[in-house]
Amino acid sequence: MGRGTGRLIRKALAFLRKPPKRSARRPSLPKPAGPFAARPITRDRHGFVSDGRYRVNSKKNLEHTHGQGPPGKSTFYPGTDVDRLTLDAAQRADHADLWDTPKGGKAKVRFAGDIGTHHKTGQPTNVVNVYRRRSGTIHAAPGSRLD
Amino acid sequence: MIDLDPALRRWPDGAPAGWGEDQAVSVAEDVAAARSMRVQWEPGDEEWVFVVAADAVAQVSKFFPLALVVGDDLAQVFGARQPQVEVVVVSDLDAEELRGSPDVLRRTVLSRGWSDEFDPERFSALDLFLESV
Repeated sequence: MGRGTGRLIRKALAFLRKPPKRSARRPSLPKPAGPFAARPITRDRHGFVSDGRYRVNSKKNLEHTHGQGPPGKSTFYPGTDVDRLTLDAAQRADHADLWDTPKGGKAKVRFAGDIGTHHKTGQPTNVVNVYRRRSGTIHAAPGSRLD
Repeated sequence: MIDLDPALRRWPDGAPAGWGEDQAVSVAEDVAAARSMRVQWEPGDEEWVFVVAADAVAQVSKFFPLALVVGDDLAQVFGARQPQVEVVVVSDLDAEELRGSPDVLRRTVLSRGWSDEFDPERFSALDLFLESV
């Protein structure tokens, strides 16, 4: 085998070993305006799940927690830590400036996968609607699907 | 303070037949069109439909022919075009200037009750929306 043939074989092998380039995919979440650094989630001195900016109204969240809420409500999937999900959605809403009508009290945050079942349609949904009061308390519900 | 009881006492037996999401959206769309505004609402858990200019200026209940409206001017539009709707004028949707008796609220717009943050003696239209979902 000549030197030229050996070089060609080495090139071919190197090409085959290269991992294939992944196709560009649309980001699953709204792109934040700046670098996204999640605020740590703890319990505040009053026992509320909080990230220092928002605190979660866990009682309201129970209405959308699987097996806990009244009939006729959209519910998050079983096993979901709804309070943490609420804070996660609120932080993403901050970064992507998603707070909207009415009065900046609501944000629709799209997630990469389905998060629960929308009561009205009975279908899975990938959207967390997060609601906030001027006091800084928040709660969440599965919202209408966004594709 | 604006007492909601007189308006809500129209429905002592709860939500009236013949009124629902479709009617609320239709009323909101009609008023919005008359003022070059838009409507914002979402099917499902939320119980109010919003009429929006730069931000929300009115909210219409999905279960009762009731509208909470910012200012007399827009209230007149509701009155002229949708006389079947009970209109309560507020200074802003997030102004905490409303009150209601607990038994009346529970029979009507807050049939599932409310969280610890809600004060029946002092709340806003926006609070009713937030408590509904």
